[in-house]
Amino acid sequence: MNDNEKKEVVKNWLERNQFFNVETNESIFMVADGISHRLVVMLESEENEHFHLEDIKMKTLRSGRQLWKAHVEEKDISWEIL
Amino acid sequence: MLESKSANGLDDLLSKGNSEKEVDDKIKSEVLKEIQDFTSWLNLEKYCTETFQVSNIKIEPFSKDDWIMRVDQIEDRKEVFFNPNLLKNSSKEFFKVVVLHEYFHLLVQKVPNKEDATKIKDNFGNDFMSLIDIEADFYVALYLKSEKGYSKQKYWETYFEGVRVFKDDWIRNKKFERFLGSILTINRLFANDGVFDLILPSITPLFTEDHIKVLVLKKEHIYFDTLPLSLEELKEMRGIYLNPTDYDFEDYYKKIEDFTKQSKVEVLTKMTNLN
Repeated sequence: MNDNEKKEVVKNWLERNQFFNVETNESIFMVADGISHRLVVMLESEENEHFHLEDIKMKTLRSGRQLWKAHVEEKDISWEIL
Repeated sequence: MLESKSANGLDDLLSKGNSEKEVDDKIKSEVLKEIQDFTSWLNLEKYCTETFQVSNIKIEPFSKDDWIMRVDQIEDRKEVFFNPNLLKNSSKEFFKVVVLHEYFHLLVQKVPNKEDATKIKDNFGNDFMSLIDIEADFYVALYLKSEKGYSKQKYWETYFEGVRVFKDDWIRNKKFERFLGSILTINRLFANDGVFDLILPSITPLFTEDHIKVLVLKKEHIYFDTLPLSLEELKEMRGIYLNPTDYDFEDYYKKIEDFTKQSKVEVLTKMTNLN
C-alpha cells in the first residue's frame, strides 16, 4: 500500500467522523478541521522514521492543532495521539 | 534531506489556512459559481428579478475584521466584498451557506450592510430583523433542498461544521429566539413541499405556561399560534446553542430533531399549502 492509498483511507475516515477541510500535498502530512479541535495527521511511513518528531510536534502545537499519527493497514487505522 | 522535505511539506500545509493572503482560486470560483446558481434560481422561480454582475463580486484577502459582507458604491455601480475569514473556523460548505444568506440580504431584501440591520432594529425592533434573517435562512435552505439535493440531515451537518463561528458566550434572548425560529422554519420546509411558512417564536410564555407562542408568516397572511414546548425542551436547546462544541453531530442533530418533533411544527395542519 503506497502513501497515497493510505492518505485516501485516512481522508475517508476523517470525513466519516465529521472532520472537514481535509487537505494534503506531496508530503506524508494532512490537515483537517473538526468542531472542537483541528489536526495535523502524520502517516506512519518508512519516510518519517528519519524525521525529528519534536520539531514536528512544535510546529503543530504552534499552529493550534493536535498531532495524530495514523498507522494504516488495508482499511484499518490505528491512531496514536502525540 | 528528509528532514527538510518533511518540514517544507508540513509548513506548506500549515501556512495555507493561516496566512494573511488571497484565498485559494479554486474556492473563489466555487463560491462565485454558487452565487451565480443561486441568483439564476431566484430569477427562474420568480422570487426576485434583480441580478448582480459577478464581476462586481469580490472575495477579499483574509482579514481579521469582524464583517462577512460589505457593499460599496463605486461611481454608478455597487461592488460586494466577502471576507473569507470564516474559512479558518468552518468548512467550505458552511462558508458558502453564509455567503448565500448574506447575498440574499443584498439582492432581495436590500439590507446589505451592518448599518442597515441596525437601522431596521432601531426603526422596527429586533423581532423584525430576526424575521428578515429567518427569511434569508428559509430561501437558502429551499435552494439547497430543491437545487442541490440537500436532506434535512445534510443541512444541519453543514450548519454544525460552522457553529464555532457564531457561538455566543451567554444567551441573548432575541438571538436565541431567532435560532429556534430558523430550526422550526427549516425543519418544516424539509418535511413539506411547497410551503412558505416563516416561524418567529417568543419564549416568554414559557415562564408561566408550558408552551411557546409563534407568529407564522405565510404567503397569504400572518397568524398567531401555540407550540406545545416545555421549559425542559428549551433547556436542551440552550445546551446546543451555548456549547455546540460539547456535542458530536449525532447528539446535536438528535436535540434538533427532538425539539422539532415536540413542537409538532412539521405536521401543523393550520399552515395551509401554497399549491
